[in-house]
Amino acid sequence: METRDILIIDDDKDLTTSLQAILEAHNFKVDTANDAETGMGKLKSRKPDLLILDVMMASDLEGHKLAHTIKRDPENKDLPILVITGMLDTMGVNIRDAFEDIKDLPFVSMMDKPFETEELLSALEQLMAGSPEA
Amino acid sequence: MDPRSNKLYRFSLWLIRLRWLGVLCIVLVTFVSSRILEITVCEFSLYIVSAAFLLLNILYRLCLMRIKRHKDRDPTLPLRLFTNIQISLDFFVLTLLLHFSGGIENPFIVYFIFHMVMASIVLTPLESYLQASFAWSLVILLATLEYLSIIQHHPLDGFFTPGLFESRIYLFGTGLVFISTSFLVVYITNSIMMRSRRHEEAYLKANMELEKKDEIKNEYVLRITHDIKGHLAAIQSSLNVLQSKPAGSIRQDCKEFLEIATLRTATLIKFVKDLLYITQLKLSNEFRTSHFSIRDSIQKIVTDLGSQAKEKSIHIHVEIDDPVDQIFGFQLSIEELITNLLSNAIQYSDQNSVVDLLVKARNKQLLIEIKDHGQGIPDNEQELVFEEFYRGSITRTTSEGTGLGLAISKKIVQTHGGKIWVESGEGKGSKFCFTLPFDDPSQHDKSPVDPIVNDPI
Repeated sequence: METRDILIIDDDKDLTTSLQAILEAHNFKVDTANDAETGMGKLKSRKPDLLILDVMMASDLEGHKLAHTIKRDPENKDLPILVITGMLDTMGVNIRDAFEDIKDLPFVSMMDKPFETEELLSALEQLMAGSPEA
Repeated sequence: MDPRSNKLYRFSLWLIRLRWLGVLCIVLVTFVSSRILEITVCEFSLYIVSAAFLLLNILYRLCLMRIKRHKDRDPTLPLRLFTNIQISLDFFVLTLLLHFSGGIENPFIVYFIFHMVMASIVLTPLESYLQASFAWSLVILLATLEYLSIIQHHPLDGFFTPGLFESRIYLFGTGLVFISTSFLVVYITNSIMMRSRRHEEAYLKANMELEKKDEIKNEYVLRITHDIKGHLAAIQSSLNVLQSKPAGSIRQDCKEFLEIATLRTATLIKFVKDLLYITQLKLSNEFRTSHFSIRDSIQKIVTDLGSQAKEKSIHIHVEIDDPVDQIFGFQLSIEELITNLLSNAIQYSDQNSVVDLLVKARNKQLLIEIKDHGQGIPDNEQELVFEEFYRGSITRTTSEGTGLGLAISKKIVQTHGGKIWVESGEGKGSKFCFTLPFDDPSQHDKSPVDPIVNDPI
């Protein structure tokens, strides 16, 4: 099986570093970015098979905006994205609508932080199985 | 429509309804007085005035509908004008009725006072004083015109001493009483209304402040939660990195502490998630309710918990009454509730024992009983196990458990309008029972006080 290329965009450097180690131990090729701009740059240059994206970075919905920008690009419309957030099961007053419309994007899954390694791996597997690109 | 316009609108509606009744009463009283009590009243004229009053009321109703239909325009001014016109015209009609039924001699003159009270309730103080002045001006004009024989006096023969309308003393006395009473009534009603308006305003203001504070609190909870969960995610995945290192690469004495840290992190994560869940349950009063098969749900839960039971060689004995299937509720939370209780039962059961899950239909309600064969709960703790953060003497010794599981279960049952309780004794095992209504959404307990409408994601 060929090695899958994953890009993680999250402003929490500790999390991206540890996730990178975990995923590399499971035979993924992983690169990380800790802000949206670097993330976009790496997305263009590396063309990963899958993107792990945090919703709340510098601003509350930066990841949300980023997900939409990425999906607007025809080249990325089939790119599977795993959106991770610490807010999924909270009473997201203003944020819930944003979540609802992110869920409607093609090949996007959402996962609540924190998560177990097994949960992460099975979510990635499901996303990749469903996407024509990966 | 703003509250003030809404009040005026509802008042007008009420006045119109009252007027239908008024017209009916005038016709009846006229008929009874004239035909049964044989009092001489101008029956025909009174019927004509009643008919006119009826037509006027129909016109009012149409006007009101028209005002309501113009949604783009601010209805406050038209409604105020409309209410004032209605009251003034009512006074006019009352004066006409009075004229044809004995003028100032007729004790029905007190009906003016009732109308003044009603006007003072809804109009501004200035408006109500003006209306009252208009009313007594009309009455004095009527009395004067009748006194001066400019218009005919229609006496109420057989009801009241005739000729009073010519007595100056009577006219002066009645006029004085009438004018002073009308002002007093308007004054008293206005003071009461002002006080009640002030209370209402204070209440609205307090309510708005409360809503604002609640919003701030929600934002606050959201922010803190996000931050805590962020840190926990980084700790957990860092620990996972160490845990996944090949055997031997971590010293044995370090491994022990690594395990403690991993276990505690998992407990803390569960605690934060439970805390959020119960906060959310408290804040919500809207659930994503639907009809679903409790039979399917239970089968799924039992399968999911199979491995946990197998570890302790516990057999889950399920018995579902034949007619039980579809119920109405929030499927995810009901499944969570059953999972929670069943998982507890497995956890606190002895090895190689049986956990019973009985599903019955009782008194139009669903009754679920989950019975374990564990140590049981001492009598003095049974009341407390459903309290938030309470951990029983048996569970206290372990680091697992958040003290929130049963509190969450209770909240879920209550929100659905059911009851939950435990039957147990030391050494006898425990039986947790709860009821849920099968199908009647209107029976749901809407007890959460918080006005924020929120359903769980």
